[in-house]
Amino acid sequence: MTIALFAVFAAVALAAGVAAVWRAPTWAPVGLALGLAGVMLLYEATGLALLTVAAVGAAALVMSVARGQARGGAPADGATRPAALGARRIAAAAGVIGGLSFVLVGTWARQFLWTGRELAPGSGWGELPGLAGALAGAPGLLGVGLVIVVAAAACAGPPRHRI
Amino acid sequence: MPITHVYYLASGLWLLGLAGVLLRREGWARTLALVVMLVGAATVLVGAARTWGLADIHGLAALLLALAGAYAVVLATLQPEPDQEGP
Repeated sequence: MTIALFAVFAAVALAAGVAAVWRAPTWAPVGLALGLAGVMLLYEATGLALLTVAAVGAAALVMSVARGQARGGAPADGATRPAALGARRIAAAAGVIGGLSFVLVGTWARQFLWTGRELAPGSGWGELPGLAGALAGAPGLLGVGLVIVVAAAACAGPPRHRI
Repeated sequence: MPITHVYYLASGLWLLGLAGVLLRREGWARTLALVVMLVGAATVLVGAARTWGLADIHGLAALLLALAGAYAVVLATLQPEPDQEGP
């Protein structure tokens, strides 16, 4: 039951995150905050759940107000249409995210999944020092990740200005 | 509940935010993406606090959430949408 509730809340949070990244609507932070508040309630962090809703919800409110003011003087025909994403930008971002996922998932798989069994209560396997040790023990992976980040930043470049 | 669940959720949120920062050009979208990244990081702290029974981490997570909110508000008020005169 707890796992199912967690899955529901996580799905809500991830869907709101996808919406925030894809279209940046003003309701996305609120959905994100509500989903994460449910997760924090499951993890017995009631105060943080309230703080999440209050902080992120207030930020969404201010952003919506400021956005409405900024749009007030703008022309209505197509002025709010988001800019198209370039293929090079998408490729660079995919490279960065792929590299980071490789490092992160590889580290966690080493700590949690490769054991092939449920960890015993009180087991020190996968604790924070272990994670730090796994990262320190994989300088090659970190180096590859950093190279990918630098290459992606160099390929992406600054946005072009249109006059 | 194992901490791996919250790891997966937080990493998903963080990578989503990173994708938004790298892909989007509008200040609004980048601001939202940064908020998503910060909230994902705070989620890790919440899971860690529950798993290892360290209530002190809640203070750090609260600080991070407040930072995310303040960050979004400041950026939203400082970055008006650009004029769109081009195609």
